[in-house]
Amino acid sequence: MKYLTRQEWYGALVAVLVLGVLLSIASPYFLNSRNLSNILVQASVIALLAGGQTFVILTGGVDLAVGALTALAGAMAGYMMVKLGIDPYLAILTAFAIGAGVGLFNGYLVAFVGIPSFIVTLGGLTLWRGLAFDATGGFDMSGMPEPFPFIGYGELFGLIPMPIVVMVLFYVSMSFVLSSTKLGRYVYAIGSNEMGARQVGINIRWYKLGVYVVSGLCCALAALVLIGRMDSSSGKMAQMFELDAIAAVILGGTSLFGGRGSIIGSLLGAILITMIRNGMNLLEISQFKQMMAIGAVVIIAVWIDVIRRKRLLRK
Amino acid sequence: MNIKQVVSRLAVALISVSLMSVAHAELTIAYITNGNTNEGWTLINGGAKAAGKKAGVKFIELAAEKGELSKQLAIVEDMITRKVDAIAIAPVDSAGISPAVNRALAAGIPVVAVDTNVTGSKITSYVATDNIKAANVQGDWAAGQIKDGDKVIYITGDLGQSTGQERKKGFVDALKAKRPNAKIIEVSTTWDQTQAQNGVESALRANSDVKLIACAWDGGALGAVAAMKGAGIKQGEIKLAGFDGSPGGLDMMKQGWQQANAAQMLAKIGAVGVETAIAAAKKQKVEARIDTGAFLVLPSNVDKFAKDSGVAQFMKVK
Repeated sequence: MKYLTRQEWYGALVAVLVLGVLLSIASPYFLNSRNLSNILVQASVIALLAGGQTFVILTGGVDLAVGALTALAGAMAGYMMVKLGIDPYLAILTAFAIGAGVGLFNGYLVAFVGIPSFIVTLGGLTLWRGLAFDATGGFDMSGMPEPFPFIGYGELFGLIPMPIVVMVLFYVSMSFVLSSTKLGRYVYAIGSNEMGARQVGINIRWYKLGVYVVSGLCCALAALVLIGRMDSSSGKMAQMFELDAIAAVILGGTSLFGGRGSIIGSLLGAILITMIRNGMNLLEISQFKQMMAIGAVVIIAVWIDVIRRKRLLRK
Repeated sequence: MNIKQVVSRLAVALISVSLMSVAHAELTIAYITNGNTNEGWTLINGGAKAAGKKAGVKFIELAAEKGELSKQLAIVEDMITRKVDAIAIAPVDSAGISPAVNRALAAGIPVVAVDTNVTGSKITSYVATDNIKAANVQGDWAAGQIKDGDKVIYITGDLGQSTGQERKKGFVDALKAKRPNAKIIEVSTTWDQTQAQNGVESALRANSDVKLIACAWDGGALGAVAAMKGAGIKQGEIKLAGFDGSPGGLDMMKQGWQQANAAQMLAKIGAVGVETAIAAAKKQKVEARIDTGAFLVLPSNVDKFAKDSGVAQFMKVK
């Protein structure tokens, strides 16, 4: 029990359970296997983005361009398959190449040139979305070829929706990377004490570059699941997903100041955000109030993070 | 209080809540908009809401934040879970919403498309202006204003979309029916006002004898007016036919720039959409395509139309 309460993601777990109980009481439609599986499917894209975002935030940076990069990778892949008739697997490779390429670009500017990540990715927010519109001529594509219908709507063993399978596999491998590889351990070291990490001989530039590449690849994966789920692609997709992804990471107990947090927390955070939206839909709460609620949740989560950090520093 | 007690109390609470909801066997209609908050959609949504209230059904209005397709997909899925009796939806994307709509239909929930159609699904009904018929009205009026052989500028919408194609076809067909030798100079846009302005500027420079300008939407008319002002052309020297019956369009008419406007019945689109969804929920037979009609607004009836349609509340020129 003590092990559990000491985890950074403990708060998120409690929040998910409490909200689950509250919603079960408030709406007779919440607690059934169909709705719970819906929530996990709807959380999948945000969860994938939050996974990559966790790496960036752990180093003390932030990636605001994840929604735009998702749109770029997705719109390009869709355009290649539907308009140009290119093999879907080649389009998938291209999406990952775009994700890695933009990640390298962001990482280079942050780690080697020294531009704050906030600025690089704020510019990227409109740069990559603009490129997505430009490269596809602003047209929507629909009718994705296999394997996209399977990724979006298929079910493993006719039981578990594929987006959930992708999400679970992703989180298993990401938590391995974060806990058991050099990159993962150095990410924590850089985030908690960048100067110290440099002095013990960690090449912080390369590892910082690495986290943006990870985030870029996650965007590509998220884009592939998203176009499968929508059976269409366009430069318009994934609007404001950066907010949900960053919120999921912060709600999951990862500190915005870097160095502290967990990947499992981000998964719980993504589920929490989706539950909030699902609950508000079932309780028939209007669009404007939903927007206000999500914004408020983000501010409260950062507030809690700031308080926790102050307590930690006092100790 | 031990865990067993908590669980049993929760169970009691859950069962009573679900029993209560069963007892209320009124119809529940979900109206899912595309998240647009402009004046046109405010009118459509207002009409939908009023129709829901009038029919006395439980009316749930939800919107896809920022016109985000994945959010609209999630809302449709949540409404299937919510076991609503019918869905009226204004799709963010005609094709993209289709997977979710198919799931609703498979769950036995009728789906009515409002203003924008759904492709790739056998929806219950599609309620919207028949763009070809409305543009016929516009073209017919234009034919009455010119002599055969005169030059006309037509500002298109996005010809990659059905709405843009149909409005152009309707206008051109009706005009050519009466004035087969009319010369149509086409200004193509993607529903962009600046493109319209630039296009009309160059078209006017090349053709000083243009008699009439017609537009696929009122934003194009705004661009045309700006181009005419730039070229030193006064109100009425070149006749202007708008399309939409938007507040901006009717303002232009009151200022003397527009002489006619093929107006969509925006509030009616929303109202009929919800009424059709209610009828489908009651297992009544509904038409697969319902045209809410168009109205030719002229300077003589603009005030009455603005008042009756509810557009007046958004107009700047009273």
